[in-house]
Amino acid sequence: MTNRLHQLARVAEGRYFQPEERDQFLTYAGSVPSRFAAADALSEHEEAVLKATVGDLQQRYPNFAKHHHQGWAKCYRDLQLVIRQDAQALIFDDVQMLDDKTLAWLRTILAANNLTPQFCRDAFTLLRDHVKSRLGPEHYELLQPFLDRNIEVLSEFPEPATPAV
Amino acid sequence: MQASASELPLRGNYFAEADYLRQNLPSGTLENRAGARMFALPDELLVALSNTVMKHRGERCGEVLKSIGRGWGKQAAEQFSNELSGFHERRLDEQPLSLFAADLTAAFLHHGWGRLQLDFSRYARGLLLVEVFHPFLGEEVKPTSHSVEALMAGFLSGMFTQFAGVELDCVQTACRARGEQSSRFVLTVPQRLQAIKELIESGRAHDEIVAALEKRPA
Repeated sequence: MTNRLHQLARVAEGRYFQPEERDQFLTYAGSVPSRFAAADALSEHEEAVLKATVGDLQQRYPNFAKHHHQGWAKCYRDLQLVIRQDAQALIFDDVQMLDDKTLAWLRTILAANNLTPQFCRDAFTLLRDHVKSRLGPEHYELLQPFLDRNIEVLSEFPEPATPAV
Repeated sequence: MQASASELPLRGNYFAEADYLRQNLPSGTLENRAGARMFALPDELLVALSNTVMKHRGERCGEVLKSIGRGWGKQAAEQFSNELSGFHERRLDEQPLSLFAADLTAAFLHHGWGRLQLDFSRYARGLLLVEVFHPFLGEEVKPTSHSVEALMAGFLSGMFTQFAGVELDCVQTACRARGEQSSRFVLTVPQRLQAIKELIESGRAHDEIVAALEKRPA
C-alpha cells in the first residue's frame, strides 16, 4: 500500500485528491488496526508455528541435517525471518516490500545451499498451513497473500545439480 | 529442534531499498546506510567514457577500461566487506558462501549494475563463472564481433581479487553486443588465461573457453 500511496501522490501532483483517491487512503488507514491485530496474533503464535513447521519438515526430510551444519536451526531462523517480514509487509500492505527486502535475497541463499524447489515449497506451505490452523480466520485472511507469496517466490529456482535435502 | 537458533543473527537483505539509500536534499548528497557517499551515474557518462578512451587509446581501449574497472572493483569489495561484516556481525571470510553470494547479488541489483548469477561449481578447480543480465554499459550497445564490457570485466577481477586475497583476472566470454543473451565472465589466475590467450582473442564461445581452462592446471 505504501507504494500505492506514493503512486497516488505522484499522480495527484499539483491538485487535490479526488474522492476515489481519498477513499483509497481512508480504506487503508481504517484497515491498520486489524493489520496490527493480525501481526500481534502471529507474534503470539510464532514459536508454536515455527516448531510445528520444522517438526513436520524433520519427519519429511530425515537426511537434511546430514547435509547442513546446524541445518534445522538455520531453517528455523530463515522461517522466523520470513514470517516476521510477512507481518511487516502486512502492516504496510505491500507485497513488493516483502519481495525486495527478503524473498529475492533469501531465494539466492536457499538455491546456493542446494536446497530443492520442492523442499522450499513444502517448508513454506507447511508454514502457511500451521499459521492457518492457529490463527482466527479474520487474521489468517489478511496474512494469506503474503504467506502465498513466500511459497511462490521461494520455490522458484532451478533444480540443483547436487540436491542437499 | 536440534540446535539453538538464537546464536544465528536474524538479519535480512542489507541492500533493501528503503533502508539502503538516504538522500540529503539540502546538501544535494546521497549516502548509503553506512554513510558512504553515493552518486547516480547515467549510462551516457559510461558510454562517453568508453568512446573517449577508445578514441584516444585505440586498440588499448579495453586494457585502459579494464584497469579503471579493476580499481573500482577493489574499492567496492573493500566497502562491501566492511559493511557486510558489521551488518552480519561476522567477518566476511567467516560467512557462508551462500550468504556472500546472496549479498553480492543484492548489491548488484540495488545499485543498478544488473542481475548477477554466480556459479561456484568449478571453484575447487580454480574457476569462477559469472553471468550478468542487464549489465551497465550493455543495454544499448552497437553490434560488434568482440566483447565490449571491459569495465565490468575489470570490476569483477578487482572485486574477486580483493575477496579471494589472490590475484585474479577476468575474461568476458559472452556479450550482447555479439548477439548473445547475457554477459558472461570467467575468473581465474592470470597465467591460466594467458595460456589460452589466442583462443580468447579469436572470440570463441563461452563453453569452449571454459573447457580449455579446465584442461589447464589450477
